[in-house]
Amino acid sequence: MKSAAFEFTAPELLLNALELQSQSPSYSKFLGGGQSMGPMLNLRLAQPDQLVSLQRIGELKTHHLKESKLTLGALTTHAQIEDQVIPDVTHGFMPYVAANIAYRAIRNQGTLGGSLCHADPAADWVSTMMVLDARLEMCHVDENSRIERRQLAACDFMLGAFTTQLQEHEILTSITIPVFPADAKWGYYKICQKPGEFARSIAAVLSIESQSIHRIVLGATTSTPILINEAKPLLSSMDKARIQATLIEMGLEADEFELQNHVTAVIRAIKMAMQ
Amino acid sequence: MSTLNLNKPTGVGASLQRKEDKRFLTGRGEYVGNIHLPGMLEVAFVRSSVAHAHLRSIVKPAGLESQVFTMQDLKGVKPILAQTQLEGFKSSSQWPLAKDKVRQVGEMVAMCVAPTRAQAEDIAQQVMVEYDELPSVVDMITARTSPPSLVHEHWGDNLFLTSKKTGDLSYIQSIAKHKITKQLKTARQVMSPMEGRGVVCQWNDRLEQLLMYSAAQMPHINRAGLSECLGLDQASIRVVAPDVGGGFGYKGILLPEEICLAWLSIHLGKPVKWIEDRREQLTANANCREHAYDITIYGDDQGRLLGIECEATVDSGAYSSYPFSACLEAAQVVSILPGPYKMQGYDCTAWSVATNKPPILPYRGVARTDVCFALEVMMDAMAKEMNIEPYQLRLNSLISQEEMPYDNITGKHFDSGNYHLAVEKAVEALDIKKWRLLQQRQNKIDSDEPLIGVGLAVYCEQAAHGTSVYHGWGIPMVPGHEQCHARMTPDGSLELRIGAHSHGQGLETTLAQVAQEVLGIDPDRVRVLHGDTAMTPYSTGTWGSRCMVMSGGAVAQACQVLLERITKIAGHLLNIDPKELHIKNQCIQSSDGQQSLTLAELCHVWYRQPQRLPPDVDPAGLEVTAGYKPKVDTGTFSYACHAVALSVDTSTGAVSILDYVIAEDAGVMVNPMIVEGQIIGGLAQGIGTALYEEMNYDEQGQPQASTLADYCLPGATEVPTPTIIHLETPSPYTSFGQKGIGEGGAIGPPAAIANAVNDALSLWGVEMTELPITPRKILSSLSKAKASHISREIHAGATTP
Amino acid sequence: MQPIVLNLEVNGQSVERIVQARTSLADFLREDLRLSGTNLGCEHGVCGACTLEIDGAPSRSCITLAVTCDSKKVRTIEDFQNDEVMTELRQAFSKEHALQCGYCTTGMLMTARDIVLRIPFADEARVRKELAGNLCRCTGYAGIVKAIMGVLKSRAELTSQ
Repeated sequence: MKSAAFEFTAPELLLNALELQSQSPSYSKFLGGGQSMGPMLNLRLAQPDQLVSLQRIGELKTHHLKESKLTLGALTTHAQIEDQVIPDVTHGFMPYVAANIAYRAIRNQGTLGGSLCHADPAADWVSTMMVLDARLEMCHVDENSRIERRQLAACDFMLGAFTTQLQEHEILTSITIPVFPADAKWGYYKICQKPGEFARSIAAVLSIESQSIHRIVLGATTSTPILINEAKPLLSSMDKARIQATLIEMGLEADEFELQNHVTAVIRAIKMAMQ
Repeated sequence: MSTLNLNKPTGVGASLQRKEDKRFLTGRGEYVGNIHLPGMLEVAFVRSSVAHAHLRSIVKPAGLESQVFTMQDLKGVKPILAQTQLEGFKSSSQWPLAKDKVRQVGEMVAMCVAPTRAQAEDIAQQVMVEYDELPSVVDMITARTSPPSLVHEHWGDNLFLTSKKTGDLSYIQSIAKHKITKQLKTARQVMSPMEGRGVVCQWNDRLEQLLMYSAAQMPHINRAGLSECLGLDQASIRVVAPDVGGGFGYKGILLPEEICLAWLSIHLGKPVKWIEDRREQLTANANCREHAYDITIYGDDQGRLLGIECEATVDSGAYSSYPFSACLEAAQVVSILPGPYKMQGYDCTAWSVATNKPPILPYRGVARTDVCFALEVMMDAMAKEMNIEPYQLRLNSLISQEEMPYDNITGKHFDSGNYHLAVEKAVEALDIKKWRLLQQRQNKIDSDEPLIGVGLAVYCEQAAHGTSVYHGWGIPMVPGHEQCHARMTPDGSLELRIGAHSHGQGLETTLAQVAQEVLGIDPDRVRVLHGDTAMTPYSTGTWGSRCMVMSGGAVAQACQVLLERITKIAGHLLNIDPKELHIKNQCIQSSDGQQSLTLAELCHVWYRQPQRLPPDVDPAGLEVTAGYKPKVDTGTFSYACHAVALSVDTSTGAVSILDYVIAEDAGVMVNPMIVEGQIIGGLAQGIGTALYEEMNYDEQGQPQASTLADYCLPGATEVPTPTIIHLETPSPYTSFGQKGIGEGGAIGPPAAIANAVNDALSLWGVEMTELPITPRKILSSLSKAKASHISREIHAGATTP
Repeated sequence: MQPIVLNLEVNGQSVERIVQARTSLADFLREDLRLSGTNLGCEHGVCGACTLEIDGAPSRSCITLAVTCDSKKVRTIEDFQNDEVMTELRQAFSKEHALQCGYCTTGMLMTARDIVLRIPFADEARVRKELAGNLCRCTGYAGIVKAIMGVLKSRAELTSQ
């Protein structure tokens, strides 16, 4: 299975990358860590005319901690988060999620930003960023060759399976996460056929009493994850029927088997958070 | 039971580390994908995207016509024909590139050649094919009973073959106290070795011979098939199987790709290469398993099996593959369903049905895995009805050691074995009592805790089938005597040449151990050459766990002859009667050890000092071709009892194996370490069959898994390390008492695991009857059971939970 | 398509070649450099047979474009002849019968070495989990796990001395 042919560039500046993309007459795609693009190229499911690699753009690989917010460059790898090369501000939540993504060889190259842009409903970061209420920054170039940036909340970023608010000519540059206060509790449970596979069901739970934050996110649905804010009654009751009813009310489409998986994942994530 | 010595340092019985490891551990294996010939071009195939259609047109891309070939271009090439002599068998013609019709998704329609595989795929993408689609034949039951269309129109139906063993059941039906009937099903799978198929070939003008490197298990058979299809005599063809990355039956086939590449290399006068990629491996080439059983078993009031009645269907796919043919899997069902049990009545019909799917090949265990699943699930169900422990029903029904050799109800000749001991050992090692206690505490209707279950399966594994039992199939291959060519080098090494092939079995080590046992030579001085039709004696190859019995026997035989010749020379040189000499520490020695000559010294005399040889020396010297067949060639019977304890998560349907025990007997083990490796490797595949692997086809005949993300192969977290208990009942017929053991590990697990899951779910009255036992199936069955439980409670007036 | 000049370090040697953008790192190494120790099992990143080191990190060469490795250090199995941990692992693999056909073995060794160096206190469950990205169809993993556990143990004993 060999890829179709394409042109390739690896600019060092964000501006150059944006211009290459917006000026390209043909079908051009950005390349991050390549762990999702690689298989698609080999299977010829993606046949772009041009690939613009972002790997030389330093800004996308930095991180900084400022005013109780951690900002990660979009090309931060899963392994960097797993190994806590990036400071952990989530009481072990993000390293835990990272350590359970695919396999180490994939984690060494795959990126947080790439995963969010690819927007596979079963991707771990998609659900996790929603429960963390992360802020995503993306940029594009205007007609005067100036870089314009805009921010979106994680819950607004993904529109559907493999579809996001990111426009063709935009690059996701960073993801900002609030630092957890001392009383933050988290839980994360995913149901897979075997470790490393894409999940059938993902549940992420965050409870921060001091900030009145009680969130449940259910991922690995057919579309965007379902975010339940004000989830405190569900967290304390762990009532299967109520959880199920809430999910369905919020638009979950699932057959009986899938529904049972989803409810089980939510309950087990809550148990993990609340113990 | 003979004594078991797992710590023997040398020869037969030693757990020697493998000689072949060295190159694999350093990345120096020579797989076919690593072979480069100067000027080599690469091939990509255009494959059918539809399952059943007339080929209306194939249009080659403009300017690239000379790089695209269809069947019209392959003049003189004949289709693959794997006939049998079984009455009523209908044969299929498989054109290497489709002609007029395609009968499976993935069937090759055109061949494209270019300097690189990527460029060849570019060309393939531009070939325009038009199909007139026909209704797809996907379900094997309706394919036979009410076919939507005919896979092979001239047949009049979709039936390759009907196999029958007719028996009168009236007696057992009259006395039976128990009668259980069920429908059971196994899934279609793909064998998925880590390396797929691959071919490199080139015509050699000096030798006037086609040289083909192929990832193959049976190179002499590939050679024969190529000869038939290309119209070349066999002497014009040399097939070399280099290092091969796993077989399991997948590589025991003459491929249309091999025929195409052979033709192309002659046509172009250049070397050509095709390497099967994973998508091709999963969706286009041979499948395996997929049986359906409608089975009834009868039991008496003494806790014994009385007999079996069965109608079975095997989905054989679109074509009869060469050489095993579309008869083998289904016809085997009829003859092996009785397993290791005694019974008084047996009636079985098996249909081998054609469908629009890739052809079937016998996968590790052949039909035994499915047959074992069907029968052993029934046995557990009957034990439950009889209110006895499942292992007790087995003990009451198994053929006993005292009765061996035993000819069973289908005429299978069981050579030796203590099946009862295997069951007892497995049950004891699993400690069923412990699990029963845990079940009593934990398995509750209103609990969220996982449900515990235990299950077992007993099976036998016939291997090293010989002429007497194999010729009856009439397929393009009948095993006869197996040869070994053995030669001492001038400096005292031994070169062994065998026609079978080693692709994981460790024959380069174990056959050296056999040589050590007979000839006393250090295995490090023994080279085993295999897989090359020019360099090795004819053999039907590696299949049916035959190598240690057949090649091992041939090696022993050849070494025995060599030993006699060498001893005679030594006797002359030492002036001692050869009868007084023996071999020890790589020397021929006198009985008091005072006089000796090394093997190397003796070889030196033959090659460099013939003047010192005895006048009546055998002129054939230090080269021997010996042939071998076991005393009775109906096949060896290994067997085992698998016992498993597991838990079922009733919220997710996930199955976790908690303990796995295998009590097995493969006769005398040549290398116990390698035997264990075969068993555990088989277990992994059995777990795949039981819980994870299925290649489903939709109504249009489209395969539903095209990547390893969809087709789930067991990984290190799915396969526990089992407890293995070795029994060693020698075969009375083979050189050292060894039996074939390659497949057993893959036979038992689906049955044992299904029985354990059913045991766990028995408090809900749920029974899984279809493989693989996925979470979806478990939760669906539980949900139905819970619904009717609640409804029963409501009706009974109990309080709603 | 514009061919690209690629400069990288392979097994300690500087290499400069002209490549197509679409060529995977695996194909570049196997076909252009004739380093055939790295095997292709799936070309979609699942089976692990193609695992090698890029800048010291185990990575999938089948879904990595060679051109993205410009200025990077790539190490294939051929570069680990004298590596201390790899030598211990090879001995352990042979002792515990951790290979049969050998096709998954080089990728398996790469991952095993990473486990031994990165997670020196791994227990068996953790080792098995870390092996999830390396499929083997022959051995059933028992020998592989035993070999890695053996190397972990002997290295731990050495450190504690």
